[in-house]
Amino acid sequence: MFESWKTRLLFSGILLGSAIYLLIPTLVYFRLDESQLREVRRDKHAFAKMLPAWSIDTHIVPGLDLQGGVHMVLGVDVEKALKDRAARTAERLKDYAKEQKMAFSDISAELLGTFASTSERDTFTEFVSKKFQELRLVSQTDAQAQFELDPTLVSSVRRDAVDQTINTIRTRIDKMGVTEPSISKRGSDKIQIQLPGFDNPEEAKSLIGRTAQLEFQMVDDKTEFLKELKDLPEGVQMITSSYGRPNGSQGKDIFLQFPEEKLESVKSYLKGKIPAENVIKFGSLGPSYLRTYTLDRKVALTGEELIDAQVSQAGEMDSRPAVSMTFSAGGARVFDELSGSNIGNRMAIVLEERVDSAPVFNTRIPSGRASITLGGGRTHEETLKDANQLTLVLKSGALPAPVTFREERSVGPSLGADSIQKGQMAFLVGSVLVILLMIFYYRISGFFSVVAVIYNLILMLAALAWLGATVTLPGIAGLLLTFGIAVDANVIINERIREELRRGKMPREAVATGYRSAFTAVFDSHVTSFIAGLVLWEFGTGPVQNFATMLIIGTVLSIFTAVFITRIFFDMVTANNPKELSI
Amino acid sequence: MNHRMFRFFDPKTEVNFIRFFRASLLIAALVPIIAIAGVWTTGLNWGIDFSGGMEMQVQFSKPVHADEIRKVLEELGYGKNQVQAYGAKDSYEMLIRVERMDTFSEDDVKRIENLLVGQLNSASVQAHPNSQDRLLIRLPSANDQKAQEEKLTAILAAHSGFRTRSILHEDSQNNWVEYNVLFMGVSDKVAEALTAAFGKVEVRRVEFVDSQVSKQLRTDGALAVFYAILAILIYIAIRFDLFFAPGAVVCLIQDTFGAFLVFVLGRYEFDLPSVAALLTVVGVSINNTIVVYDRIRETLPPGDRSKLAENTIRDCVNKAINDTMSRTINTSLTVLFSSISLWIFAGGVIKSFAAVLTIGLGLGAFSSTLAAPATYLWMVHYLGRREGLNRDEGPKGYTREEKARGVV
Repeated sequence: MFESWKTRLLFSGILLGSAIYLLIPTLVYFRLDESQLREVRRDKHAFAKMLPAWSIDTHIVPGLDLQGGVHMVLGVDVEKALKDRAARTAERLKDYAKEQKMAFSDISAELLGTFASTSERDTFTEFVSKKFQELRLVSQTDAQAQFELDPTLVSSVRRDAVDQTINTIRTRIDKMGVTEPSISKRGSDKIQIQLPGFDNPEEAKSLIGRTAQLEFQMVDDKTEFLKELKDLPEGVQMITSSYGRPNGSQGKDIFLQFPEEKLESVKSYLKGKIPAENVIKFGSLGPSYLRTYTLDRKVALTGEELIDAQVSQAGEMDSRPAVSMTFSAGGARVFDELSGSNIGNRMAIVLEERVDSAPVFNTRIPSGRASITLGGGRTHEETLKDANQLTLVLKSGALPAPVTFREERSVGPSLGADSIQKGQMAFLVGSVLVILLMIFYYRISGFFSVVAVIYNLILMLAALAWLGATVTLPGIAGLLLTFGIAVDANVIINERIREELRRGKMPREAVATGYRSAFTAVFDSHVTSFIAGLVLWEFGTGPVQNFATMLIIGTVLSIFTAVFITRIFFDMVTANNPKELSI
Repeated sequence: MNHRMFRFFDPKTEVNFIRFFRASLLIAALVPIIAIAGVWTTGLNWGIDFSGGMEMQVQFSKPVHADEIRKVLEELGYGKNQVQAYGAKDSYEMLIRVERMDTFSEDDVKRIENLLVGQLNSASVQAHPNSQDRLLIRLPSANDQKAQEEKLTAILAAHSGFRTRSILHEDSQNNWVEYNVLFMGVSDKVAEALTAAFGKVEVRRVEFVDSQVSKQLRTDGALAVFYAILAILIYIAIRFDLFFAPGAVVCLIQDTFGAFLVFVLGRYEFDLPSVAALLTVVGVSINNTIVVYDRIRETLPPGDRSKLAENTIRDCVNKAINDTMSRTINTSLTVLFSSISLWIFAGGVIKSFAAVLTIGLGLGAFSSTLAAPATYLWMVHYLGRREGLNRDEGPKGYTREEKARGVV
């Protein structure tokens, strides 16, 4: 099928067309002015709106060194998290033992129990092994017993502390209105945060250290004002459903459901229609739908009062996963009252103004320790996943483990602009010189090479745009290196063809032989760069990794253009078996 | 048949490159030695990625002398500092590096603890530094937490000697409350002092790397480069044979150290992006080596190589270098055009990058065209257990047709 150069030309034309299609968002992105860029950084969907409907919306992202921004690496102190956990468990154990009238002298924050007698000690350890699944007895002397946290629990804290911290930080950063923040785990106990376009590391630091806003508000199921509403915006549905109450009756649940992008129009529609004592907040319903919750205006409790949340089991005989919460002394009082007067009603857990869930009060909760049982009808795994998720939401008020700032880098926006401006000039001069040299040296064949290398560059950029890759200064170095390898491949091939011509071959045959004998050198040099790229990508960090990415993508594309694209031109000019070849 | 071709190098000339082999190997041995000596004596200008500390790139509104800045830094207590002009002459930019100490010494923490005990009339106060510019302060629970927070803020602002940025309620238990206090960072302090001394300054870049992280970055970077080079050599050993691989090693060592030498002589900062520059040099050079090697392999008569006379091998090597010379010159020129234009027009980071590239590529072109094949011949001579190599005898090349006719 690829025998004729015309077919191959058509194929490469189609490929070029697709590449240009992929590059549209990138071209749009790089031509945004300052105010548009701010807009795009503030609103996730703003950029997509600036593009034609048929376009993709991934684009090449300039790295922090080019567009300015803040880069941080945080170390998470997991050991301290474990110490705190042990201390909290000790507190809970003390309280519970008192409630159960167990005799003991003291339990220290390090989980060392002290007793008046051996028998007292034995009854107590018995009680712990029954009621406190998360504790293990390590050793005991006559009047002391040393407990420790269950190893599986410890390893899960070790595993989750970083993830929880990431979640917490993500919530906080979302509030800062930085788009395209990247937050990722680095190694086992570090977190890397990148905030493009943000140029005040100190401010970012204080924001990251802030407490997230977690609120508990009662759901108002009595009001039916939603039912009175007329002319709902398009795509918004009124749903009437119900939920089970502990006494077996059904509670009414009336809400609006609508696709996510309708949020603004629903908000403006509801303006002025909500009763004074209520407030409407939104929660998600499936992956792309939202629903309304009608809540009491008053915020009953905030996350400040919540000390701890953990996944536990629903009851002594009930192994379903549940979430247990521990409130501070003040919080416990409020919670006692709230639960007492609201049995059968729902309480919404609101994180950063979004309703996460709305569990029902089943009993009065006096101790400041509440347990949330999750809805039934699902497998154990699913429920466990939800329980973990909710625990994360509840704990997002405080960082699960102390963090230290290990790396902070911030680049002002002007610096990157300078680099780009100076780099552009250099790049332009360099490219023009290379193009002139190639055309002067190899004449028309040199011109083909130049076309092929530019084609290669366009494909490369398109691939990066498609992947939504970040380009940093070291990345540009990688680009230059692949650019050099691509030019080199052309030089090797052209030199080979010249050699064959000198030996007296006709151009057509010279081209075929030249390509064949040049292939090994071209292939080997590409493969070594590719291997180097893979290894660097695997072992390198940050800038080195970006360099490697360019190397990997570049070498793959360059081998294709070197042997495929230029060949089309050569086959085109030697199609009629000419006697001369301009090379 | 008239092919009018422009060329820098006429392949018909058959230059005897073998003559330069000894010199090239000598250079390949000398470059690393000089580079190591350079690092030993003048030292490498380690960037903060690898040395840890804090670096600021500051733009002044008027020309400021580095010594004046040093004086300001010393007054702030940063005796260990480096100040150098940066970027274009007329931009008044300076690169300032200080060894960032913890904002709080043990004594400071003690002092703040005692201060709070005195001022809040409370029995237990624990403060411990949480990263360089934070303190976690644990106080006994108060009935009115808001009031407590305000009081704490007021006390720290008035008497601690440090400027606070924010106080956050971090955590609380039944009997204690923990606050996370963020103090003025080092970069803020430096920027403030510089503004006071020299008028308006623009802080263009601030980077801080913890010494623990820099240690890790050092090992990570070195390992990444080492593994990459190892992988390349394994590939060459597989694609060619073990006689070829050492030549590539010699090349790699010379080019890596050659690039290092540029960093030493130019006093350029060696940081993570520099690793990319180093790798670019190595990448282009290994690419050259492979092209020459490939040609040698092709020029050698087919069949069992172990039975070839050493002279034949030497002639083939020389012919291969001649044949690839045009391409070597050409490719090197194109890459040099780009890197020299970067060197001239670009500024800041790219400038040092381009300098390393230009000089490194120049060195690399020599090592890959001469030192690598020289090492190959040496391997053949000493490990191939052959006799009769006379270095000064002129080479004798064979064309492909001659080979085909069975001359060799």
